[in-house]
Amino acid sequence: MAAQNRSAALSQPMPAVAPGSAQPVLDRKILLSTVEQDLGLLRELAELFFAESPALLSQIRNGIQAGEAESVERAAHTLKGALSNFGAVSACDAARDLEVLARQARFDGAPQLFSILEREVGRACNALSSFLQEASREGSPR
Amino acid sequence: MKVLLAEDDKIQSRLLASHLTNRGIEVHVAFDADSAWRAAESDPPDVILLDLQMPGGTGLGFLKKRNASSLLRGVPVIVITGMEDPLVLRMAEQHGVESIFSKPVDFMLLDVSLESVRSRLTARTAVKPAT
Repeated sequence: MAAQNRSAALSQPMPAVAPGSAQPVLDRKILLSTVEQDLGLLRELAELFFAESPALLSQIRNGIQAGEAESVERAAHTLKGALSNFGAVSACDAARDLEVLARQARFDGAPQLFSILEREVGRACNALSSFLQEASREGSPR
Repeated sequence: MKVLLAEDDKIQSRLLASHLTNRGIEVHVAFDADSAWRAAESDPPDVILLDLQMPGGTGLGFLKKRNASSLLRGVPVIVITGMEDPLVLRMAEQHGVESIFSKPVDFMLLDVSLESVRSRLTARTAVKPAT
């Protein structure tokens, strides 16, 4: 049962907070409710995200450079969906902003938005890794 | 209960599949609209969980085909979507969907919707005349 995979680490506060913001990089409540407290599943999903997010970021970067709105919109949409599962609120907001811009076939401000997105995705990945490492040390996940 | 999960996002599909199988639901996953349609035709599910934005065709296209199909017209469809366009969501509603969920999906509400489908299936089976 998923509930049996609770770890002592789950009760610890999420350490990573976006600089200059009171908002955590990952919303621990969303993160854990998404996987129904199953750390094994969270680890699996994180591996998928670590593997897929670089290609999605590349697709957005290349799409902005080539002026391909549809490609940018699609990749930003996929990234937004993945980030929302982890409660990566700031990164998710950046992906949503880019998706909306691309849907309107607008590229003004897109490079700046992409820089924010890239930075926030990096932070989300680091925070997720730290959380999983901490959970492995302190708990006995599946 | 047998569910066809049509979702190209691997993280989302893994999450949903895990949630459903933990509840004893049989899940078949399709990662694009074409393979979802083929899977539905070859082995009609009790309910379809459908992402509106997939490679190989849109979810709305899938719904149109479902409505035109004598085999699949009666299969309830639950839409799961990250799309926020109200026009698209209204169109999905007009195609006769069971319910619509935004991503990330609220599992508790999804369970309620699936339970409603399950109850109807059970009732239908109970009143089916013996042959």
